[in-house]
Amino acid sequence: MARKKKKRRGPDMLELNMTAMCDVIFQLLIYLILTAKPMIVLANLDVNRPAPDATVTEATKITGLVDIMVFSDAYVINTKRVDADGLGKVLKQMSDYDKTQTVVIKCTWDSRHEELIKVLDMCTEYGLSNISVMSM
Amino acid sequence: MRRASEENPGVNMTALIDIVFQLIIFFIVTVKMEETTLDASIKMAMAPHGKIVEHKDPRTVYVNVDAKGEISINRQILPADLFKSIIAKAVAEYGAETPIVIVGDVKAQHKYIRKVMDACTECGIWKLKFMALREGG
Repeated sequence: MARKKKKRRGPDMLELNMTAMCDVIFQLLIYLILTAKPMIVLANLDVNRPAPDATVTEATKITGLVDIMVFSDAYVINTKRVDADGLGKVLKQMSDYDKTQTVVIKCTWDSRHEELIKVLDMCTEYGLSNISVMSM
Repeated sequence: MRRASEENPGVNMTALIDIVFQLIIFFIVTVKMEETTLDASIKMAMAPHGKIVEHKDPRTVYVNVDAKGEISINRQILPADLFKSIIAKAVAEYGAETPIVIVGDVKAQHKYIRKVMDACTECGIWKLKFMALREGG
């Protein structure tokens, strides 16, 4: 009889109370959710559109203007054809000289949006904030 | 003889369910409505140096342009004239400083983006924003 009683006690001793553990896990989960800072993945690139000005005539020459043309396969900066790396180098040089100068980006109709974003990103990288976008 | 239920009492689920419901309510309340306005079918270009979107203006109009050139706001595809009238209405209501964010697909040709820019310009908006991804992609 005594042997039989000992065998019955075995499973009762292994029993664990899960309620407290679940409570603590959920407390930790709530803490982590509340304290987690969401990763910012979106960025905004500001541009200006050329506003019509009645006082400006075609003959007026504006100085200090960086002229970038975006084609589907290449870029042209101040009449010089360059690739993406070359454009970055030229923009860096220009930003070192003057960061306030106006950058006019002219896109061809068939150029991909990605190319425009790439140029805008380069301008932002080198601190050029006065950007206008035009279409050709 | 003991019954099986007395020997192995189950986990008390009441507290667990309570907390799960609390979490569900928390997520429902804090979910950002803005994220629902972003169209998942549009693959944005990468701009690792772009400005972080910190202050979100509630007036902001997000204009999506997909790879086929279809213009949509809040996942509603709009013809060019209707889009222009919406922008004109926004300008009449909030002024020419209404923030317009163009969310263009990587492969969208500039001629489609141009339509959006021209419509904004005609309505008197000179400042535009392009949305891009800082990381991920």
